[in-house]
Amino acid sequence: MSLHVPTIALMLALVGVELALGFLLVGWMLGRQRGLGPWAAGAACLSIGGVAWGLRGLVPEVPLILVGNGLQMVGFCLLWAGSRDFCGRPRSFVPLALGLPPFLAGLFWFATAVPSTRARVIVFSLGIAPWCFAIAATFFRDAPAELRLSARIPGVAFLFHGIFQLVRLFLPQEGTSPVDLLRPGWAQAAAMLEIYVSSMATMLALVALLAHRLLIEFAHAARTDALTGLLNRRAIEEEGARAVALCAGTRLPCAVLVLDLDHFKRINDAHGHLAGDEALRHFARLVGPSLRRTDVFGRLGGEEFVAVMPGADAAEARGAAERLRQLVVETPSVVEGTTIPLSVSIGVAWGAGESFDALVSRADDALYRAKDGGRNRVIEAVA
Amino acid sequence: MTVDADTLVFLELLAGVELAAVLLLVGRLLRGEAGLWPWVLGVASATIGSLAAALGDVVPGAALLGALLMSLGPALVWAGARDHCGRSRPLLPIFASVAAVGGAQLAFPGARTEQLAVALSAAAWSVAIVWTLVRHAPAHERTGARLAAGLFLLHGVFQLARAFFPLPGEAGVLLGQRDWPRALVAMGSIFFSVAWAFAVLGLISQRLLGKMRDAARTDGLTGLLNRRAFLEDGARALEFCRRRRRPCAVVLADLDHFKRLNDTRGHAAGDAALRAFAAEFARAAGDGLVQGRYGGEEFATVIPRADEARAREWAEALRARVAATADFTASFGIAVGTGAEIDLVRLIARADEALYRAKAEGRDRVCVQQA
Repeated sequence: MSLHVPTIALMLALVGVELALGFLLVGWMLGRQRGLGPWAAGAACLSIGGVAWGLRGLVPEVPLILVGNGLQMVGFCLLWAGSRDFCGRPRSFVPLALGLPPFLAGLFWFATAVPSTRARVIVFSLGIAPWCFAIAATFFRDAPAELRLSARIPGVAFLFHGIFQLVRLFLPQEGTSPVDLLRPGWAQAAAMLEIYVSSMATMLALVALLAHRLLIEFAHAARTDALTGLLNRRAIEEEGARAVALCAGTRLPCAVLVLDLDHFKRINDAHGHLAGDEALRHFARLVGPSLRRTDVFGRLGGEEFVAVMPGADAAEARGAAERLRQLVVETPSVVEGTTIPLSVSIGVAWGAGESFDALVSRADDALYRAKDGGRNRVIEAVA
Repeated sequence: MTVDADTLVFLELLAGVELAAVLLLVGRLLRGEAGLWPWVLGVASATIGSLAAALGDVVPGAALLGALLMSLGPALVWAGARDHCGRSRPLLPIFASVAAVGGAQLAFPGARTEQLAVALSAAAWSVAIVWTLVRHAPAHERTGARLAAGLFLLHGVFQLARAFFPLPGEAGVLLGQRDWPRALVAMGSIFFSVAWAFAVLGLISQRLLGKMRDAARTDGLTGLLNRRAFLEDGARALEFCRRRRRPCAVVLADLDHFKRLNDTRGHAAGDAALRAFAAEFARAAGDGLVQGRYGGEEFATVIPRADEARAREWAEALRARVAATADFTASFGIAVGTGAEIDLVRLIARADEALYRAKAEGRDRVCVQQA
């Protein structure tokens, strides 16, 4: 089967424009997303570059060569920048500033002084391949852990594109004038088919990567209390039950602390709800880091928090609760220069082989007694 | 400029296979998203269908299989759109459409029948997809749904036109090129499969983005706005009333003896009561109402454009319904702001005083705080 190269060139340009438009529309729908802006701009540059390619023979060739190929490099640089953004790595346009002038100078030289298509293809491939490898490296090395797998899809696509740019150096080339690029020949057809396939693969893989990140962020947000950043009620119930069950399975004791900020309503009424929110955040910042790494800490709702301490026996749990109580009393919350003293009442329950719900319920009873007993104290649950 | 139909068909198949592969991978990554699998299978089915149709001259039966798969594709995309919009997806129309295409092909074998049947069924399904997306997409996803609907409308028009394309070798072929219908169909197919892939990914991403925003704004137990989101939205509603110099009411509701319920019957019963109340509360939603869980067992509503009488009527109806249906009662406090001095925090504080009075007067009642 013989392929008609001008047809491929036409479709390449059309699909390139469509991909860029699709990317821009998805970007517009999703609003600000890390990495999306540079990616969309890069896709647009690449598509304009592709259209420029299709215009060969219709427009003066030297400016077209410079603009078309220059936009290709700018486009890949933007894709790289977006990928760095996506992976939370710094990016800079210094590589582009260093790479673009010699790239354009080389193309100009081989278009005017020593006209040679083959030489221009070499300049082009050597100019573009490093960007592809840099993008692939970013995705392989720097992608966030939970996105590592999905980042491999665009990673592989860019790697493939980079490798093909290098392979292309060794493919036969025909003719010297740009119009010859559209003459039938398997090398040209292969090069264009490769771009056709990889442009689709890379663009869709990038959109899919964005979607996957949204999925992961959603899963995270569904488990996080928006105010304090701690586990929310649903998550703490799951995690707590898991921790308690694990302890029961290994015959370890397990302690549950239910913590409740004292007179929280009074803080809200006296200083406004913003101060109340800040007090909750302050409390979360205070308590979270002073627990052990294996402890599970979350917000049950309102001003009520729960900590699960796997492996902690009575003495440890009591000690930890007392330490937390003192820490909270000693570290008041400061909002806009106003010092708001805080205190916390803590109910402690521990046991081996008891369910999470039973432990929380007993700790809760102890907490009520702590409140009745005058607040700012630790009360242990009766067995 | 001349184009080559064979090359375009080749490119079409290349794009189809690649897009199906990418979508399958995406399907693995995003599993569990509503509509995803029908969409993926729909695109894959259309692709394999056109591959089979392309082999129709060589392999016996491939033309029929191709026609069936090509008509199944848009039907599955329709099912995906229904799923995505939270509607049921009856299988009967899908079977019926595939059976009709197959039956037509068996009854009147020939390229003309295949073209007509496949194109008309695809056009009909495109219209159904447009209908689903325009009518049933959630309000906050309207932008993306409209964009996708526009795309499918274009697809429907294209398919409709395609139904009447002359067949290769037929009289009346224009433009001096025998193959232009085939070339145009292949180009359209490439264009639409790329666009579909973007539409699917875009709609799913938009859905995920919305869910993520909701997760940060809603209370996990009751599904109502959480306190912070309520204060934000409530302040916005008040601002609306203030600028139009309309009154605005704040209603605070509090479950009676909730602590006792929690203590005597356990947290699970307490949670169930909160959920039951939240459901009643949400059912009483109305025009522009902002409702949230304000704290533990306390719920808050901003009713824009409501004066004291309307707010009292609203709260009284809710109170009576809760008292009649649930095994607990609730007390309500109302404060109404008028004119320029409407401030959410101040109104909530006043409603709280009224609520306190309702509790003191024996619970299960509505009290209004006079300004």
